[in-house]
Amino acid sequence: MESRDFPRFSTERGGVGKQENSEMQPGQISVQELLSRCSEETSKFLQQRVSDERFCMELFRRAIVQRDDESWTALYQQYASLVLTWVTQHQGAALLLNQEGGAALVNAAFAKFSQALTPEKMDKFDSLAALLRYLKLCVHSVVADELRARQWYQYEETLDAIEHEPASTDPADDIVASLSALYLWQIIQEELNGDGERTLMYLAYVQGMKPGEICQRHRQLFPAVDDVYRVKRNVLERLRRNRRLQTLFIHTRRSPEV
Amino acid sequence: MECSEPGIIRDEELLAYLAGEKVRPLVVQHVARCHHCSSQVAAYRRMEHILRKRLYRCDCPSPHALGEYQIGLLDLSAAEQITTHLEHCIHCTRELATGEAFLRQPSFLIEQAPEHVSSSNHCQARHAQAPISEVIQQRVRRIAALLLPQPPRFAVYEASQHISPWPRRYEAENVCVVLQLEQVPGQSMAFQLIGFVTCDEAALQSSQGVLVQLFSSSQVVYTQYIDDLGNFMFFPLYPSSYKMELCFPDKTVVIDQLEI
Repeated sequence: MESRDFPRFSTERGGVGKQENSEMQPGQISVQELLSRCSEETSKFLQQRVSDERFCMELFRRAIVQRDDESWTALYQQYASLVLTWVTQHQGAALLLNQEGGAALVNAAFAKFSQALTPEKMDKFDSLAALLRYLKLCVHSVVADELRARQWYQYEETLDAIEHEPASTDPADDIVASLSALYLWQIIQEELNGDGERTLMYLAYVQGMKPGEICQRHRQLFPAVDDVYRVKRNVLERLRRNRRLQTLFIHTRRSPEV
Repeated sequence: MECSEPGIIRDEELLAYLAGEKVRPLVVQHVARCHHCSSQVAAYRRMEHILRKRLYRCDCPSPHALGEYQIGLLDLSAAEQITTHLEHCIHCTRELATGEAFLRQPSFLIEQAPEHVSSSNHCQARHAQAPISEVIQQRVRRIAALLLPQPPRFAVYEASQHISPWPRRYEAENVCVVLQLEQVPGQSMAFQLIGFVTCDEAALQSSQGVLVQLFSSSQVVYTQYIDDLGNFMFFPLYPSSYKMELCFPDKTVVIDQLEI
């Protein structure tokens, strides 16, 4: 995988890139020695001196491919501060940092990295730069995950307020909700007639758009915002009469049948 | 149960009322006094929330999948699915843009890397990063920028005011850099350094994307890129002695002994 944004440490072992102690083979030294060399080479890199990425790469390899705990700890030790820097740079993280602090997001990013980067996938990374870019991507993923969850939670809270029920803390509910979403969407689609209704339902409920926005984006289907309301009302009335959906609208929680 | 005043309002108006849109005052009054219509509003509200809660972004790929798509890690069919999804999903398009911007941002580790020389056109090219060894081999010229004297001021001004050494104007071959230092409001020891770069006979955008590095005496390195208007800004900076380097494709302009 080519990484354009990240520079690559030198892997040259001759000429300009010749390393001191080049006889030291990364694959044959202990994790602690690897960590120390990785740290040294990173410092050289930061000082714009010729550096050798093989030691850091080996640390990643042992942590990911061999699932070696000691290497994983060393990796965390080496890169946690860098990951924290990335977290603070993320434009979406400001709110989360105020509420949770950076440590939780750093841990989540490492967890995501460990989970997502399987030994098989490791072959796709041919440089330290590419691996670090992937680690940085994991920072973005955890921040975006958290922001999405909060958005979703807002709907949950609103519904709870309507129903006077406490919010569910059972993770199984999320699975049921996510499974049923596709099924629910299928039932709804069976009830829809024409492009107008399909577009409206998708934009209103899957994309969460307001009627005004829908009208603005699809003037040919909805010349005026009243048309959006009219079509929406027709569909809602039809859905209300749908036998399979009645269960959902009566019992919103724990409805695996939907 | 039926509406107490049939035909006085339309059902669409109930939905508009529910959406918080501006409706005729009559609609609000009617909903307040008609049991049937207020129940109807409650039923619609409930349906709306259930549908939104269950369906909101139910077809969106995870942020991580979007990220892998972005860096080209997904297989063809998965990538195609996301491409199709992005054609109509405003949320994922936005998330992807945020992710792209985030990954493009320099990080501490990469801030130190010199830029790859990709074009011989002076002040023309955006840079791609390259291995340090490669850059060393390319022997980019380093040019010390000259601090130009400040333009003359009115005597009355000089007599009554403390003469600030800012803004400073530097020149190196055809590159001109103007630096202005400003104190961060409310923070006596924090400053922002604003730069404006021009190249002779070249449009302002021509230096867009050029890497600007600021090295402090304590080895901390800050990185910025020149924007499309020729500006860059470092913020916040604390009193120290700095060195600035502007990494153009064919030369590095060095501003030494920048005392803040």
